Amino acid sequence: MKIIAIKNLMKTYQTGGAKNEVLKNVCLEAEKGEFVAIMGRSGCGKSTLLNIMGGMDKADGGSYLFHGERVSDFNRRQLAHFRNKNVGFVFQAFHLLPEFNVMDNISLPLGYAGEKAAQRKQRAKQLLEMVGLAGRERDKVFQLSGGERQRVAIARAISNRPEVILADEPTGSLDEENGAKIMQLLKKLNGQGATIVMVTHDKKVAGYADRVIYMENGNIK
Amino acid sequence: MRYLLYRVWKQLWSNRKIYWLIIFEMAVGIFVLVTCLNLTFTNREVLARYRQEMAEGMIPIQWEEGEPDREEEYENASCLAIDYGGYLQLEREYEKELNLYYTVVALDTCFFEGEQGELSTAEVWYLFMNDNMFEKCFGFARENDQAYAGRRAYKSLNKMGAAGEGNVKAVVRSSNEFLARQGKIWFSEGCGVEYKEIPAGEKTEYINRTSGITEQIPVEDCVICPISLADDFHVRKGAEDVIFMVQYKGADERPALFEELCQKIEGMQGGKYIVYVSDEYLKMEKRAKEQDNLVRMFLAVSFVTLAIVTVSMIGILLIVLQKRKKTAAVSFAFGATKIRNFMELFAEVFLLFFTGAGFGVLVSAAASFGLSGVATEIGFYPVCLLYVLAFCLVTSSACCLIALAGVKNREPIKVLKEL
Repeated sequence: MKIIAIKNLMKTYQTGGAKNEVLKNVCLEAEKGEFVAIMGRSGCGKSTLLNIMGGMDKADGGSYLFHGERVSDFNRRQLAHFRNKNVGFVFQAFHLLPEFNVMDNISLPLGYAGEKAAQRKQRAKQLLEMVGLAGRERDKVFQLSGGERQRVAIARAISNRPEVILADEPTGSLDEENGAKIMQLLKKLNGQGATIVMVTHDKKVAGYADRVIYMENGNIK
Repeated sequence: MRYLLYRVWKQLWSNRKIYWLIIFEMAVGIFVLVTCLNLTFTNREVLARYRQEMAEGMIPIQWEEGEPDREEEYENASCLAIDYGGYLQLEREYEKELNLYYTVVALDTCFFEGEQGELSTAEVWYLFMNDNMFEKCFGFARENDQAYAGRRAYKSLNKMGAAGEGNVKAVVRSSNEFLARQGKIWFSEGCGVEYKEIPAGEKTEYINRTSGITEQIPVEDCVICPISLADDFHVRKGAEDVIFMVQYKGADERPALFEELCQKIEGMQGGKYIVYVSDEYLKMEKRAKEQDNLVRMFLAVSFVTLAIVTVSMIGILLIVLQKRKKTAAVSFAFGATKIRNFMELFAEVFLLFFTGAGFGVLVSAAASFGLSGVATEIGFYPVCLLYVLAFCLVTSSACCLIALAGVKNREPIKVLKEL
């Protein structure tokens, strides 16, 4: 069952006076529960593709269907709802909010989904247990190590039970040991039914995926 | 909504150190604003009071002797600044605009000779009042053009009337003519007016003279006569002074009319008198102008202070928002719309400003109550709270928008890439 169907996706950025075609007729499909890795050089359009898949950015042309729904036609509000309910982002730099504690960071998507405080708390506890950080709810972000931060970021990405996890270089800021732990965690989530689309430079990391896609100059090879 | 407030609270708490500065600035700004507004409202009330007093009050017209080298003109002039004829002329001309209060004042001394030939005197003030003045002084209308006498004057008149009947002789001024007899005062042959005592319980004790010497005439020594007799009395026996006051009929204040009136009165006596509006009125007018200037000054001060405070707060917010870009971008990635992000920011800034404003209002209210009656006249006007609320809403919006416009590269994707 196709969860993601992208056809002839195009994206152009205007930098100064020059047009920069980042995506040129990109076509991509992903099955539900699939683990896809996208590899390619810097600037080849991997992150842009991921952002469009996550509803963070809009394509200039082509179509993007999610469960058969045309995400490319969504308005801002629908996109916000889409980002909240259907996808979970994992960033290379974790992007945890320093002004909030671990529990608040994890429950961020739940808050926007309108979940009550008690439910957010319960879910955060459950997720912290799952990522091996039980009892750290009250910790501030600066009290966590890099590996712990990424585990919290993963917990945040899955807190609203999205169908797709979009990971942009999830191990890029981690050492090998912590990177491996994170990949095992993602693999575990994939095993539980989550569809994962991951951007990476690292072939070893890409090895965790079911399928590896290579991008070059805004296109899939 | 709850989650929005929860996040706002978290943000306020995490930035509390810098936010205390904003709260302090806001408190200072609002303190100045509310205090100035209170002073403005107070001064407006004072101004309105003055204007009402000026519009409703009886304004004395005063005069003094003119230049001595114009004596030849004086020869034709009556000794009164406004004689009866002049009063009638003014009444005709200003009937629509002014109420005139006119009284001719004359002092008469009665000499009584007793049984053993001893002499005693009684001073009687003859006041020839027009109806306006009479009603203003005594609160009731004169009946049948009769005269009213104060307690002591009434006794003197009765004594005069009884002279010759017992052992009392009365000698009135230079003639032996009895001024009072048979319950009437006689000003000339065939011209007599009935008199009766001013009703008991009358509260008016004094009639204030307004020109020349400032003096209070005791009512108990007065005989209040109809104005129509003033001319006859004046011609025959002479009167020493007039009391003249005016009052606007409309509520509008028109000082130009006073000037015209004064010039007209001056012209009546050929320039013998320099006529002017009473000092009290001028003081009132001056105070009213001062209050008006104060109102403007306080408003200007409050606006300048608020402008400085607002610019300063925008500066601080700009710094805070530069750091907040990441929060907004991450929130965006997990389901927040840009509007939602703006709402969170707005709510945060509004609560911040409102807290500062609350402190400012409290301090201002305390200062108003403390200063009231001690240093200056100032009240606390709850309507100020509406202004404060409006100011908080407008400045919160303006600060958020201006600060957001000042934050560079705030697109979530760019922000997330940069970090």
